[in-house]
Amino acid sequence: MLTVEDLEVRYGRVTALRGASIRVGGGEFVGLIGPNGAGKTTLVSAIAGVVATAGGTIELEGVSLDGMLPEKIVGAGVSVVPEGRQIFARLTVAENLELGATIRTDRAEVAADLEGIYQRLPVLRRYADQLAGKLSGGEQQMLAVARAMIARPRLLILDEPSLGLAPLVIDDMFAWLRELHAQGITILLVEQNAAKTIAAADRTYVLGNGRVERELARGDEVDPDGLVESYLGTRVEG
Amino acid sequence: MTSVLQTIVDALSFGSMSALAALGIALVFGVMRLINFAHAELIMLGAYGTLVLAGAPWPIVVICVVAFVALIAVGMERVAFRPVRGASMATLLVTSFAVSYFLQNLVILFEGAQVKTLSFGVSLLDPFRVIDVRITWLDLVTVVATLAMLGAVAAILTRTRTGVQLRAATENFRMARMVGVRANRVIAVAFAMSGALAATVSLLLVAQNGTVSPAMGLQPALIGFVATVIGGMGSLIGAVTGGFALGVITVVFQASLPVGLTPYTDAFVFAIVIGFLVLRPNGLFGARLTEERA
Amino acid sequence: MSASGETAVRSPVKVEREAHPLLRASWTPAVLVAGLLLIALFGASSSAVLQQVVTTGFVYLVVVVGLYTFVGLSGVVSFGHISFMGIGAYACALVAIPATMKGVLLPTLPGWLQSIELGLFASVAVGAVCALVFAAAIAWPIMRISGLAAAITLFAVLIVVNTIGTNWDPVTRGTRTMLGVPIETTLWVAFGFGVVAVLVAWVFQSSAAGLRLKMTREDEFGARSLGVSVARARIWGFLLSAVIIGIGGALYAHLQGSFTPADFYLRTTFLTIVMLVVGGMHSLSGAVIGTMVITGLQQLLNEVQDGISLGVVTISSRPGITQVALAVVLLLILVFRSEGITGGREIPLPRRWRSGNGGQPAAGADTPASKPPAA
Repeated sequence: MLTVEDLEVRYGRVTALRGASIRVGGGEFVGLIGPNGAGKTTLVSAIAGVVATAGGTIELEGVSLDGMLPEKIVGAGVSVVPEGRQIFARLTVAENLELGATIRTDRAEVAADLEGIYQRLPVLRRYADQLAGKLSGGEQQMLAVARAMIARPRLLILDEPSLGLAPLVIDDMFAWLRELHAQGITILLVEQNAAKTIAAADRTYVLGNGRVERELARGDEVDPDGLVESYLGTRVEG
Repeated sequence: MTSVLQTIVDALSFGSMSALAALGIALVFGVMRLINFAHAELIMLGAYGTLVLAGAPWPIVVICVVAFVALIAVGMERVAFRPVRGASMATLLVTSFAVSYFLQNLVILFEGAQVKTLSFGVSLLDPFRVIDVRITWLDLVTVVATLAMLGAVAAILTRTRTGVQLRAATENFRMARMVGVRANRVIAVAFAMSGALAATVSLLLVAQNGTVSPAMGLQPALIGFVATVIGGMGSLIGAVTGGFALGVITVVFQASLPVGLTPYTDAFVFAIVIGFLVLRPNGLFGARLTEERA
Repeated sequence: MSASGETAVRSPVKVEREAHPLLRASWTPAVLVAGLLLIALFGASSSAVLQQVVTTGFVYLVVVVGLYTFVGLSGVVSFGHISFMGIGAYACALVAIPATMKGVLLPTLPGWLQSIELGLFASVAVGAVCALVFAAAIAWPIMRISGLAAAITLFAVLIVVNTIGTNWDPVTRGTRTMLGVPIETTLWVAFGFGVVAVLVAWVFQSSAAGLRLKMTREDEFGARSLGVSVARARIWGFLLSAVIIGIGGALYAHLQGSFTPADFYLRTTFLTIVMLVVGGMHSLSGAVIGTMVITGLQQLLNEVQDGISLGVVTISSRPGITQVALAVVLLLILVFRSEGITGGREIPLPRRWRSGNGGQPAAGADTPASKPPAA
């Protein structure tokens, strides 16, 4: 569904991505791990259209996303849950969810979807008319994912959703992602939490130094030394 | 005692107008992080529009002037501000200053720089006395119109999809786009609303003073600029409160300074603003000091 | 070839001579001063009208260089700096106007002020000091707040100073013209002050204080993390710019001989901003080039405005065209090349004279035009 080919992104004179290529097939759950500074968020930002690319292509089911406005990319079926959740803290929970449906025109269906979300995540219903900033970190993360899901995306991209969350909450979230995947949503999960991601995803890319360094399947033996080399840049002796 | 009441009436009236000016400026600032110096010219153009339409029945004048200024505001954004969207703060500021200067001198080119008189809503200036205080219908209209406009803006921002989108864009422009909010649309809406608010100020000013001149928009707009800054950038409530407060303080100073010093009212008000900024550099409701526009 | 048959080996590569460090450091100001000299000579050999235009241009150069010293280095857009020009002008006038004239114009002045009559340099110094005092009084609160808030606050300063100027009749004659300042700003006087201003600005921007200030413009958080106090860095630039602009104001007083507070309000603010931005807000070369270009352009526009006949076509007089045209010019620059003519760079050393390995830019260049570092 999503094909990223030789993507190059520069911030001024710093090259953040140098020829990164990944594929996400329809219905797959793909992971992307790597250390800080590897370019994971840059890759997500490029797909979302908020960052300009210097080379390479991004295609969604054959349609090029290059140069498309972010708001149009959402309309094409890509929903992004960005790093840091970025819910609208000064708006209510309900308003946040309503914003997720910005691109949809079928009001009745939206209402039904909303009801479904409230049933799956009762805490959101309880806080529906409160400012979203009052939610806890984990609840805000759920809100961010729910907001992305209300757009009925074909591809859901999440950037480090487990950051700053307690382990139990992280488990909840991964469980929900597996549910969504089971319902047929295509997911690209960008994470620092290597073990959980590799276990949950069908395939996982390892990003390092601005390019994809290896690809792991779920069953693959995780090569700790190899991962350490990717994350720290050196082999561990002994 | 009566002079105190009189001052209160005048303060409410002038404070209301200042609050309207501040809201117009803050709406645009919230969504674009741009202080629109040309808001002064929006007010001025609304007044000249009233001049052109003088003689027509007042509902027509009101509707036409509001539409006219809103259109100019949207046009201004499209032509001058969109090309520099996302540029540095310095570029944005200089651009808005350039637009302001351009419009002011365009009017001077075609209409001359001298003050012109007109009559609009003159009957509103008829005073009536309540407990020895001189209130004009215009004072009442000003307060009512302000409350109405504030209410309308609040309703749009909270009860319409576009309004919610605008608030989201004000808080986090990039994220708003990432849920599908159309950047051009919310910005145009913000400018249109800002224009409508400016037009309201124009009409009230013209009714009160009966004159128009190319530089007339500066004084009300200046309060708006300062209010947006001290209200805590990005906070609409802060700007409205700040605008109202500055208007009230101005009137109070005007009334209480010894006669020789009244021309320096602005200087005193400004000294207060400086003092306030020393104590609270982040403004009334706190600010996010560095904001990157998407 | 020597007589013994040995051949001396001659290096096939032409050794690049590295420029003397002093030359590298002073290249840009030297070029700027040379350019200004050419313009001065041109002015000196032209008609009286053109000579006046050039002289006025040099006076504005002082003001714009002063503006650059703060705005260009700190990145804070100040719309209030012309208030320093006004203060400099009026203070200078108060001590330079002949005593008998002062008695008529400003009868209520205190005795000691009435009788003072200072020459050019002394009165300019007085103007500079008064501008400095005023700047020092308002600097601290303003430099602490964010750049945007500071810009708005400085705009308010302009308006407040103008209000005071138009109302303080006993000292400024209010809206009436202040006149009688001896006309002592000749072409070469203005040129001299212009050159000094350029050199002072150059020295400041190369100094530690100037570099610290530039650091806060480029990356405020980064600078803070290095222990640079943003407020203090800005204050130095602010005070220096006030002094230079104050001098410009005093020179203006001695150029025109008469003026009103309106001379130091929005029109001049706009003009100096156009000059700085069109030239390039982030470089001293930009300030100089912009001033000269706009001075020339303004003269051209004024001639059109006054009505000229270009052979077949006659353009009738339309007051106000110059201002509108200048605004359009500024808007075009902002949209199409916001970094101005110089792009924020100083006039670079010619390639031949840079050090051997492929082009080290002259000291003081803002953004060296070199290749990106190896990926």
